[in-house]
Amino acid sequence: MIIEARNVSKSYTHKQALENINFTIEGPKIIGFLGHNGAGKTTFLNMLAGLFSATEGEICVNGENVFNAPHVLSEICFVAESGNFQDEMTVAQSLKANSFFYPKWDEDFAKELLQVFALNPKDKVKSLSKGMVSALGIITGFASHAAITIFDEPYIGLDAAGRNTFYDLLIEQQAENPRLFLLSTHLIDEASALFEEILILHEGKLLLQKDADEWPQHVVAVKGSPNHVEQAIEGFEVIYKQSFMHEMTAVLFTNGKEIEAENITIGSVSLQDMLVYLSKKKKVGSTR
Amino acid sequence: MNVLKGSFYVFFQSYKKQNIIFWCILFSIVFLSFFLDSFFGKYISFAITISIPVYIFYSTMASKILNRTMPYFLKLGLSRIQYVLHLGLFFLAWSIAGAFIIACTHEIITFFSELLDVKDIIIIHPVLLFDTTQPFMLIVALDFVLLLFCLISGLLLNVVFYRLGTIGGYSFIGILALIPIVMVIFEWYTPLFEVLSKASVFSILSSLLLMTFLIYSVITGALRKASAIPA
Amino acid sequence: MTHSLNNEKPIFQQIRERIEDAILDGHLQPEDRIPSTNEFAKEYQINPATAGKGVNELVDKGVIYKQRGIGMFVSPQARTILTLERKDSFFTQHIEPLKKEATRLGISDEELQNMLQRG
Repeated sequence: MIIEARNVSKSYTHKQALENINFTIEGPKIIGFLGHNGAGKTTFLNMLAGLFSATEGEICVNGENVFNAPHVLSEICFVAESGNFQDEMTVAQSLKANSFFYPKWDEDFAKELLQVFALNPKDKVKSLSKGMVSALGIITGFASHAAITIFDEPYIGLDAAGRNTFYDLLIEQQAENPRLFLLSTHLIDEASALFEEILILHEGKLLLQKDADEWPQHVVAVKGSPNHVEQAIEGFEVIYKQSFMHEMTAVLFTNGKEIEAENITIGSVSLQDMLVYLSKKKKVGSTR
Repeated sequence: MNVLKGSFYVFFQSYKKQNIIFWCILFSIVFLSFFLDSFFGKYISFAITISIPVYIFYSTMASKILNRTMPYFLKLGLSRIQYVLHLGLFFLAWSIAGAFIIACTHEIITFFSELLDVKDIIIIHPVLLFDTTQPFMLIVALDFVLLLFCLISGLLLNVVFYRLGTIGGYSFIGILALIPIVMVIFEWYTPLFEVLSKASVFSILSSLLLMTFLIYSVITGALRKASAIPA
Repeated sequence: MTHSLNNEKPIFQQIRERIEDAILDGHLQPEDRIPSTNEFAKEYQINPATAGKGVNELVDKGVIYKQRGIGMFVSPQARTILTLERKDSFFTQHIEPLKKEATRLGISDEELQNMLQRG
């Protein structure tokens, strides 16, 4: 499965949600689709699932535009933050409905997962708690066996144990029958070790796309006295810079280049920290 | 085929409860009226209506169906054309079912009123305009077309609100309200009523069907590229 | 969790080091079976492909060997290979930072040698 975004832009009446996004991802793989609130993640995922069309450009799966293309979309299972089910239907009915639309639906697995998440099949969707609806979404995602499975904030309202179950399932499924999983989440610390590839959206643009293995070398924090750090970071793309007690910390992209300087320490930056730095950058930018 | 089955399953399950509640209330009212009529019919005569509440119920259901089901089906991977097609087929089935229930209820009431010798019970139904003997198949046909028309009109209203938002939707209603006023000003109503009163039941039914089909085509066009998120 | 991984190094490298440490410490003896990639993935909640990458590096080095359909085992010469490799990196990873810190604290070479003997 290959997902291609070609010059994708999306604008609403009052704002531009996505601006000229270009990338290619190929699965099976677990991909982290990250960015802070309003970065355009959900907009992109909605378009990938064919829910609305791009203002410009196109999103293709295996070379075919996904918009209004049922045979492509049947290979995509999109579990959104909310609104995945009909309120009037029960848990069992919702799962049965799924079985008509996902050609590779695994009914036994769905039943097994109902027990794992302790859902009562006779409960109506509208009577479920937030966490239970999330669990139903997770069950749908895994039991669909869709070649592309998208989880957009799949565990709102789920406790730590429930989330752990989700991660275990994700690992197990990826080992047993690999798919292209796209996971968008705010709980990055928990999930970061699961990603093989990371895409970060920032203010409607694709900020970076990296293999998880390359991450520690690609994004680094340089520490040292301000003079030395300023010297070391010259020519690099700096995301964040801060001085405290005559020590300067600068977070930057190396783009594969070596940082050659003395009297500085180079450390790695976690994904979570990176996103915090990005949001700080945004605030600085907006006050200017 | 599987997808069509799935769509029917979802529509059926989503609207099962509302239908059951509606028909239960309607039947209990009809039953109550019939009961009262058979006791007090000597003093006052009662009129029962079954079909008109059904028209209203169908219209209201259809006027919300798009918001309730379209995002869900698009998420399941249907194309918009498929969705409109499945919805249309569901409307056909739903109207046929409604028409049969109405006609059967008429038959049952007539049967019991004859059995219990309740003479002066009147069942108000549009068929009275054409044929006072109220033949079964005519009731079914008339109700089928009228219910389908109600569903499609309700859907059209929903489509307008869905695509144009609240302001656009109410403007549309405003324009619709203008039509009768304009009709009165230009005195279009006299020839219209003349045509209607002269026309046979079949020409009226077929023109209604044609109109339904035209509205359906407009809806299909309007939803061809619609977003899963209402305006 | 005590065994949680950090983000200082790529995860596959950390997995590789975990196995290496276990062999050097003697927790894993030659011919002992090593958990499968998927077992590693589940244990550390990491991507199966990442776990596989760490394990495969050890296979390439000859520290562990695969037997089709049975599993992966510690090879007889594992300890020797790892000891040699670790000795190489010992200087850069431990001696150099030691010297650097000593200079910062003003510890003379003589003092440092005394400390080493005491420790």
